[in-house]
Amino acid sequence: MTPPSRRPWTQHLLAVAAALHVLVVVGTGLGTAPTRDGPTDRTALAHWSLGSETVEDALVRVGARWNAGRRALLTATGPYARCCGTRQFWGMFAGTYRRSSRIEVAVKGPDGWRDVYVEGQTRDAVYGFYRFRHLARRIKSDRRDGLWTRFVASAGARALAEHEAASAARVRVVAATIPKPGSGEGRRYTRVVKSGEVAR
Amino acid sequence: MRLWDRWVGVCTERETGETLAAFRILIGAVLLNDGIRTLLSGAVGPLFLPESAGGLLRPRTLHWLVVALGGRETEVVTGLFGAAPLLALGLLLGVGGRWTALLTLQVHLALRSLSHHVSGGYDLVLSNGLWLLFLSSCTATWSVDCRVRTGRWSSDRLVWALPRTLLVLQLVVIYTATGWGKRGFGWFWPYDGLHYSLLRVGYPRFDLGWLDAVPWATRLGTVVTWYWEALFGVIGVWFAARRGWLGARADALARRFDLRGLWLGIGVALHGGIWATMDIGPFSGATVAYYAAFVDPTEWRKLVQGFGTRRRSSEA
Repeated sequence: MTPPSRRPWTQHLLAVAAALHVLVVVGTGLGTAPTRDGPTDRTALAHWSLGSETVEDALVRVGARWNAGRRALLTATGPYARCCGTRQFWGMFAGTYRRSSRIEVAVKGPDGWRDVYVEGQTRDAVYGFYRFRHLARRIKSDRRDGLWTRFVASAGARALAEHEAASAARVRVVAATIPKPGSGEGRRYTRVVKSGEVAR
Repeated sequence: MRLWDRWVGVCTERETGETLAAFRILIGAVLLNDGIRTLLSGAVGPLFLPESAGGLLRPRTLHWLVVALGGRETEVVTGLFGAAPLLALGLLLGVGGRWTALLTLQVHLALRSLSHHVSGGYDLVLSNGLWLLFLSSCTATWSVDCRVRTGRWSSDRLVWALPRTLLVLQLVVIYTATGWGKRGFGWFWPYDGLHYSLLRVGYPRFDLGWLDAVPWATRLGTVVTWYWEALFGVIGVWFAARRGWLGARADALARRFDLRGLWLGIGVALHGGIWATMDIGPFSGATVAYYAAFVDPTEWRKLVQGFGTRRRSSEA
């Protein structure tokens, strides 16, 4: 191994660049520490501190310092992370939800409404495509962007084009409660969260 | 100062290029599959085209490449979607050196900027990987470039080992963050996180309602997933020890207790299970591609030579 003092300056430069990259990856990747602001974080803090308030206070203090340092780091290295795609945070299944909702598309015929697409049950090349599944979450929760309205128009028009005898199409988000494990109750999608119709 | 010298030493290590070549091939294959599936899905229109052409989404900030090509126009979007699988194929075959990785990265980021609601964490895993491939001599061996340069498909040319180290770090950060980021009530006693996650409509390939009858299975899966992810740093320490960065004693221990079979084996099993039950696109493929970084270049060479020998003997 080359003695450190004899290393060319280019090697030190490479090491500085590598150290900065590591900082960006670790800073953006490890995400934020829990605070007492949300119910999910409060649940985690309670478990990690084993019920001790002293430990919880210490965790919150250290977490607040980490979050402040991380914010400063992200501000300073933002352009590098954006240009090079090195931003990294991955919160897969981070929260736990007792509720499930699905998109349903129905058409109106002489015999009334008939489902033509039910998320999670009907196979559909477009709606079943994995990138559309990300969007479906956003469509269900959309309140301001107008995405829900645009989706109703688009899905309604598509359903009417595919079912010529239909006089109208309806798009709904229907919710169910996920029962506790082993309860044998099953999910019943009955609560309509939002609904929109398109007439021919 | 000694610590800095050691860091400079880590950053300037060299090795042959089989590991980086394997990672390049795997990432190229994952991107090629993603590109072809996207084109065949029929979802490019609603997800990526402008509203005037039937698109559903309004982009926030467009990537510089989209702006330079003329904005979010139908021809630009379809052109980029056509280029993406071709670049992925170039990456897989090892054409154009590191510049193919850089161009693939920019096209990948450009496509993601068209529609920010349809990206997953796997897109960041892919873009990170592409950036590290750009920083490496990823076509030094097992590539068309190598064939053109030397007349052979493989080469003993030495490359910087730093990109491989950064791949390992990336994976450690990803899993550690994912584990400690799981803060919902289901990830603690009585460990029903997987039950609630798998019974939500969204990513499952088919209805998993039957899981309700086997709560022990989802609880076991929750426990294994959480502890394995949160403690993924252990394999990172093993890697550092195996590279000799933690001293001779740690190196000897790491050689005696090879943790890769256990840690990466659990990972392959978990990702296999996720792939079988959920459609999260390139998620499993992109992540498992990083596992290649844990395999030394000499081990990769033996693996490939062993495969070649077995194939020749079976043909004879």
